[in-house]
Amino acid sequence: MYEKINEPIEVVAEFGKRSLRPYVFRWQGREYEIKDVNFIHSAPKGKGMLFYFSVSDDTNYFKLCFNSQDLSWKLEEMYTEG
Amino acid sequence: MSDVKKWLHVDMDSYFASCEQQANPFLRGKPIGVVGNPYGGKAYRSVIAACSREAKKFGVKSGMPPYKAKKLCPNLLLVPADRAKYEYVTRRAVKIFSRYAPEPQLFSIDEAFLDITQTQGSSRAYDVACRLQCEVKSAFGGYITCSVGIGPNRFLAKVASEIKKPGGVFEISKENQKEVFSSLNLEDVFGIGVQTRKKLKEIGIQNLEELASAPPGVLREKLGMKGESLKRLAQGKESACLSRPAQALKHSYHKTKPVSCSRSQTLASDCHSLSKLKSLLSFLSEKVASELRSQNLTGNIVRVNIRYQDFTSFSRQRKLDSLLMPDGAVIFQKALRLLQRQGLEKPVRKAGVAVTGLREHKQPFLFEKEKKREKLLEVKDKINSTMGDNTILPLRCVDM
Repeated sequence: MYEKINEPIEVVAEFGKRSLRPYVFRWQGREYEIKDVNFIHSAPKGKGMLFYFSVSDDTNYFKLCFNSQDLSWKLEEMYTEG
Repeated sequence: MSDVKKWLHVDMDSYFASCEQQANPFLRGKPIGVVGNPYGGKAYRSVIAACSREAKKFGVKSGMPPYKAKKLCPNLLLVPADRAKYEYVTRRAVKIFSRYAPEPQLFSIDEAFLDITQTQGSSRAYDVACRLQCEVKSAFGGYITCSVGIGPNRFLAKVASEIKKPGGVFEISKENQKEVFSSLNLEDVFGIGVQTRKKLKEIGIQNLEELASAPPGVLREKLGMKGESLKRLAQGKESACLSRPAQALKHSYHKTKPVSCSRSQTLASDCHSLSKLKSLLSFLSEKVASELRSQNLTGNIVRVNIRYQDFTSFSRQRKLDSLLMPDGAVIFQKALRLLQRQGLEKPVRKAGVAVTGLREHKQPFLFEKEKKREKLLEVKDKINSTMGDNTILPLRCVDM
């Protein structure tokens, strides 16, 4: 089932020259290790960009959002089977 | 070099649904339907924008209300649409297409025509199409695929792309055109829907061969300009509706100028509050005004349509003494007055605003106030076009 979350999260990510890859994030006191980055897309927001990461672990799908202007991360939505 | 053109028509397979299955691995192999807003079960007011291959097997189709789709496929998963994601994929796909044809023509968010006549070199068009498919697949991941049709014109390429879906390549040439057309139904042709098919059947036309040889006068009498256009298509020739794709989307077969510009919206839940309805009318007025400005049009009739929760509806319009300024605030004021005069009797399900009596907007404004306002709207349009729709909206569009 899809759930709209829209809450700030803490993320461990690797910033490359032209790449960004999230590895672990903490939400509501719990850590989630990202197994796969399935899709990345971006959209302009004001002067900056929003980068969306569609990621998953073994049981959940998450959509994370990175705001390039204030360098903040958000958990936008999640999907859990059942 | 041969003077025969080579067109590719690239059609993304189950586009929105494939994007969602690529993003979320738990949706793969499952019947899904992409809808406006399924959070909290409100999707039942919207329609299925796209469905996965798995859902199509159950007879689920785009445009179907979710409750109907659920009847056909009880396990159907409703997934929220993500416009930014689809636009991003389209933008990147167009970049890939431009490596095959310098000016790819985007026909809709999931379709494009590529003229490869000059660029294919010594490669066969079929090989070019396969290369393009591989590139699309590797750019986005295995779930986002496309079907490619090849033909000597855009219409035949479009017909061809439907033949080996999903993920296939098919070519229609002079040699196989007759054979392919004999296997197609009337509805397989772009522009023939249920109503047109019904009209064609009334004049004894059952298949493409009969349409191709029908007397033009009979077709024109029954279907107007569209009749001639369809006859050309049935003969395998390109029609005006495909020659200017961007316009074709908006005005279909009509070569003439549009006569009205309207926007309507069905609410997620019935609206009991006048202030909420005012916000919606204001938003719709802004959309109508922005469309009018983009086409350099104006009009002198404003119309409001309201549909109540019990599906009864009313429509009120007012003809103005002069052409109105294509400004959301002006249209909103007129629309609101019409609504207030009528009054609301029941909760509202759907509302719409339209401007008709359209003419080209060419008369310059005389007064400084209007000139200033026009300049302001120009800036607003520029910001919205570069930073995304609705970046700047009047506060009255927001329900407080």
